[in-house]
Amino acid sequence: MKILIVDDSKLARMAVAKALSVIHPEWERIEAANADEALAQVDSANPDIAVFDFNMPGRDGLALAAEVRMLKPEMQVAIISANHQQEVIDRAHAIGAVFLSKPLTEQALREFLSSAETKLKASQ
Amino acid sequence: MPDPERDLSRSVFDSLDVGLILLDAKQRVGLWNTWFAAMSGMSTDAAVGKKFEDLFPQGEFSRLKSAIGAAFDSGVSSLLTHSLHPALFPLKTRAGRPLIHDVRVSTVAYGPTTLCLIQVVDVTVAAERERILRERQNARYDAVVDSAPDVILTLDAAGTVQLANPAAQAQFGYSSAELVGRHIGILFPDQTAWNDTQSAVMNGRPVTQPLDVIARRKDGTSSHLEVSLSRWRSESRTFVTAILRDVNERRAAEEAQRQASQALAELNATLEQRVTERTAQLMQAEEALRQSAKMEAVGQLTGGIAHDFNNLLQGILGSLDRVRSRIAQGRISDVERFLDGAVQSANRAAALTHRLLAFSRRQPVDPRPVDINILIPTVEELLRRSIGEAIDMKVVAANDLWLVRCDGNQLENALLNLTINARDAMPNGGTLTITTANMTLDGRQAVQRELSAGDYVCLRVSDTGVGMPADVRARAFDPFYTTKPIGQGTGLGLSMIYGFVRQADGSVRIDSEVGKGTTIEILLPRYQGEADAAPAPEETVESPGGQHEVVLVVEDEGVVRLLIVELLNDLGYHALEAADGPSALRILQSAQRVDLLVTDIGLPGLNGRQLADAARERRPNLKTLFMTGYAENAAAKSFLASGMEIIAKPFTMDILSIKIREMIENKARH
Amino acid sequence: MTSLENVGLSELEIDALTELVNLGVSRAALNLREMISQEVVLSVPSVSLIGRLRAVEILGEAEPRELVAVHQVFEGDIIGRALLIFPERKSLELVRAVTSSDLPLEDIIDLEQEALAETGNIILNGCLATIANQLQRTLKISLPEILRGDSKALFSLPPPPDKGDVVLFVYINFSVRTRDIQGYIAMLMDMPSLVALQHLLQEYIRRATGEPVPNSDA
Repeated sequence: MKILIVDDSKLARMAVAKALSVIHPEWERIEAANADEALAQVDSANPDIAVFDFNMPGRDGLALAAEVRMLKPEMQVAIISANHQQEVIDRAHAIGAVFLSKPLTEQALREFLSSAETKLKASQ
Repeated sequence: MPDPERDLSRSVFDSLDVGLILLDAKQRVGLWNTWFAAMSGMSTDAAVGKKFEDLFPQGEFSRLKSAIGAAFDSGVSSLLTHSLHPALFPLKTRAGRPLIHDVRVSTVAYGPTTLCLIQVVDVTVAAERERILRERQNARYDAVVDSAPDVILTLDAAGTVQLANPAAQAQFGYSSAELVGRHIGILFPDQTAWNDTQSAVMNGRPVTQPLDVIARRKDGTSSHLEVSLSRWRSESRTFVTAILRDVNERRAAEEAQRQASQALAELNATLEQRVTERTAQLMQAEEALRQSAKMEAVGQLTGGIAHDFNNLLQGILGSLDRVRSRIAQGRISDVERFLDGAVQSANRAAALTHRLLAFSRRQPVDPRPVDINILIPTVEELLRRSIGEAIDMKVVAANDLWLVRCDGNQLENALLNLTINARDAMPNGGTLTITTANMTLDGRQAVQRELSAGDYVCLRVSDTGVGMPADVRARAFDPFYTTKPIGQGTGLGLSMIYGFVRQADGSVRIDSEVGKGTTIEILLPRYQGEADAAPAPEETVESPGGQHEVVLVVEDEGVVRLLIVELLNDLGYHALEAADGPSALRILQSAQRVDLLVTDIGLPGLNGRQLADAARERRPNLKTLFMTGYAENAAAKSFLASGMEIIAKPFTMDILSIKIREMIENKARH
Repeated sequence: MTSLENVGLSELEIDALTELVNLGVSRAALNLREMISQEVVLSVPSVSLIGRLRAVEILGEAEPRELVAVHQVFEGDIIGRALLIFPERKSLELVRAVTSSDLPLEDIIDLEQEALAETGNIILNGCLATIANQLQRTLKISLPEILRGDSKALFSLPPPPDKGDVVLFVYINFSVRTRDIQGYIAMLMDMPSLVALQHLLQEYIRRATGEPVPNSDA
């Protein structure tokens, strides 16, 4: 399994990576710091799952996630944000993405990954 | 055994005129004091162990609970004010009226545990007093304001509308909600007169006469109004109230009267057939005089122009010299640059000669519709060169200036003559100001100037020079009268201007004070027709081939400005420059083509951001590059609209040129 | 985004601080939304750690006119002041955004002091409390006070500031009900507090990433 982590903060990426290394150390991790890098990675590495930070300068995570969903509809996508106002959560769901709160707990990530895996297996 | 300390604390707790509530970590009430029990009608025993939402089911406690949670989690203190939470708890005063209160949330240590302390403070008296005062004022005020037939607007110091009465909607078509929060400029396309008057009022200077303004309604039609402004303060803030009275009917009546007078005048003309021949003779004599006055002006110019020609020739010779040496060294690749430079200088010289020739040519008088704001930039270069470096020249042009009908060349001559006079009056330097404005004269004002009432365009040339005493002023327009030394003027300039202006049904007058300066005011009647089909040229320098984009550089530090202008010329763009916001704004409000605005943010007075916003009112999407002294301001970028970019100093010329190229060729990312 | 001057925090530490500010501001947006029942968008275009005098200059260039600020003091392992700063001409806009907007002008002016104080209190508490929580410390935070002045006045509050004072300088964009307001958060600390903050950040990074952090040059 390949998972793409997109966040302009290196620390945030490292935090997700740490949680991931506890849950699924055998999965391949790819990182991107902005929209352009993320799209390039989606193209070349073709990840199965992607996690996007909502609040990024330039193109925000939501717009990016929407675009990626159109390019690769089978990819399982989550938006991470500390801003969990209902409006933001609704917008994430509207584009078919799961919403995860920052700071990310291992538990929340575990639940997302397990449901993502299930959906991927079902569609194969 | 009674414990005096504990009894004292408890006694104080229950005697305070402030509500005190202690909560445990689960937000359940532990204890509250007598004051709170009395005002809420609920004893502390009835409340122990319960939560607020259970005790007061009608209440809205989400913010309070959140604040209590934060106090326990993080130690923060919170303030909940009656302004945002009008009735947090259902409290009543001793007289049974609603008790208006503020609430403070904090924590207090109690042995090993922490409790939440809530303080409830009665602000009823203060709130009530304010409310009563306001209601009294409002009742009277509202009655007057709402029923007034005149438009009443309240503006803050920045010109943003805070209040608009119902008459505003009737007059302008905008509802109150559409006006409140917008800038007054939405109603007044010509803002100069308004801004001046508003500044005067804000600074406490009284405006003794009502001001005539023209507003633009929502449907685009114009409305003539008389406005009076007054200033008032609230706390540390200053506001302006404007009362606008509809004078459209009065203007229509005046216009009808003017047209009637004009009809009468035309009738009179037939009676003057006899004088036509005599007039023709006089005109010939005038023509000759005009031409010699013009030549005199040309003579005055040539000094400055010779200097410029020298510089241009220097540029050409220098460049060719470099070319020769490069070729001798076999460095052919470099020569392009120098050849371009030489060509540019040669073109500038050609343009100058062209202008000079056009100016001195004999041309018949040819009245046409003229927009003075467009005419001024075309002679501006000449004017600036003739006044030299010691004199500062400012042009203040009104927005939406009306057209006049006159001979464009004669008007140019007039400007040139007045400029030279002003220069001669300021041997030690000073300021020359050229102003244009629309003016509407009522009967009284018109008579003072020997004109009929109506719309005029006003052109003023002011200097800060030696001024004229009364006797000189009286004779200034006489032909051949001059105060200049022999050889320095034939004394024809002002009399020529007088003749030209009277012929165009206008007026000219002199305001002067010895030691302070002189202002010449020319009024020409408004021409109601259309401008000429052929538009005025937009580029001030003729380029050999290909479009040279125009870039306006605004920067108060001379050296930096110079470097940027040089860079732009090297890149093949045509650079205009301004040292401050207001002069840049004047260029941006004229018809001058500008493809890119490059401006420092930290300009004195009108700063770069404000300049860009103001310019975008007439040129939406004007591409703008901001320069800032602070990388942090460059990183923030949050105020940038589409078409705007920002770079931080110091930047290398390479970076600047890449950025400018990108923006002009529209490759920049927004 | 990074303007380190002589402050000596590493890139990763600044990254962590930025994440914390973002978390704090998001929390504040949530609290505000809860109160006014309208979506609140609070975004942070940039965060930097700079000297006090430079902060005065930067803010002065960006906002040459009068400013209004909500001021709170924090005490604990870190000591300092927090300011939420808006240009004065925007403060009535802010009040309109958080109250019902069809209040008459006089009411808005009357309510301005309190509404600003409370709104500022919510935003600053959101930030400070979140930062304190994530760093696993408690801070005692005072109630808000409204101040007016230019950038120099706001950054020169007595007791006389030390030349070495440091400012965490944050640009924020505040957007409610189609009103867009640009403001700033500044947290002023002295050098000992900054050193304490640095240690706390290092511990936070360790907890978040599970890796020991190399000693940065202080």
